[in-house]
Amino acid sequence: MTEHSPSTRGVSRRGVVTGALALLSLPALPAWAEGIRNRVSMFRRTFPVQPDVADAEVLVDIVLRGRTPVPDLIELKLPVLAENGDSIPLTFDIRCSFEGSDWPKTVHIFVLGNPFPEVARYHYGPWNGSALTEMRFRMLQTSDVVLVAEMADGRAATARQNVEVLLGACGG
Amino acid sequence: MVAPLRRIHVPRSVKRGEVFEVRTLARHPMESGVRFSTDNIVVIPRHILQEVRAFYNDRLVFRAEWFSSVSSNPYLSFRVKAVDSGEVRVVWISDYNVRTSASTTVEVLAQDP
Repeated sequence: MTEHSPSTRGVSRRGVVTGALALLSLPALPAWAEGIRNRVSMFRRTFPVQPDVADAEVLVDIVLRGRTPVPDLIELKLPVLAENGDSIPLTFDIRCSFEGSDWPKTVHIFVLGNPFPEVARYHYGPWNGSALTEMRFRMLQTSDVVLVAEMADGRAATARQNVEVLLGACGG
Repeated sequence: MVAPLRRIHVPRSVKRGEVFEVRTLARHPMESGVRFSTDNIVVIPRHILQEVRAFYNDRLVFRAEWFSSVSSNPYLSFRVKAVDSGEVRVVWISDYNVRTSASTTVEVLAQDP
């Protein structure tokens, strides 16, 4: 028998790990909240996360906070078909005057088919003059891209477009 | 030749009150934390630029929060309204709180009468 065989130890490593996990997850969360916690990528993790479109829709609802989105406020420029999911160009603009409280505070970008659906948040101020922004992001599979704009006067707007991805980015 | 680590570009001169474009490009792998290593056992830990802050004359004018899905070598462009001549500085903050920055100057001309 080798020196490091598990049977020679009093406490197995697996036992220690599961015990610690049980301690960490003491406040039992409902199933949907557990999913949301896995989607929020604020911290680093070492286990894989599978994409779940239904969970991602809940994330969008959380940002909307029950507000009815204003139509035709976001101008979205996004390819309908992407051959490679590694780098998809996105250009968006908010149709607003940047006077008074008519400017976007935050713009959220979600890709519903990614393991971590939240792609980016952009924060603006009245000094920007225009919210025209360009970026590039990854997509794992064909899915909807959702933009949520939160205006300074409390309104919210959404834009949604489906992007067909032929070759998904590994990960996303 | 290796591309520079962080790049920023603004128009050389703009009129006062005009909205100008700031284009930035960073060289970064943006490891998403979802990929497996080549032996398919371990998840490669996440290593991304998680925040971008833009300062115009030392005033925060634009902030971006990035997550796993942003492309590697991320390009970002945004707009700022010209007020005074001065410096535009962009700071990238990584997962390990490493801050890198690029800065440039913009000349603001008085508007035509």
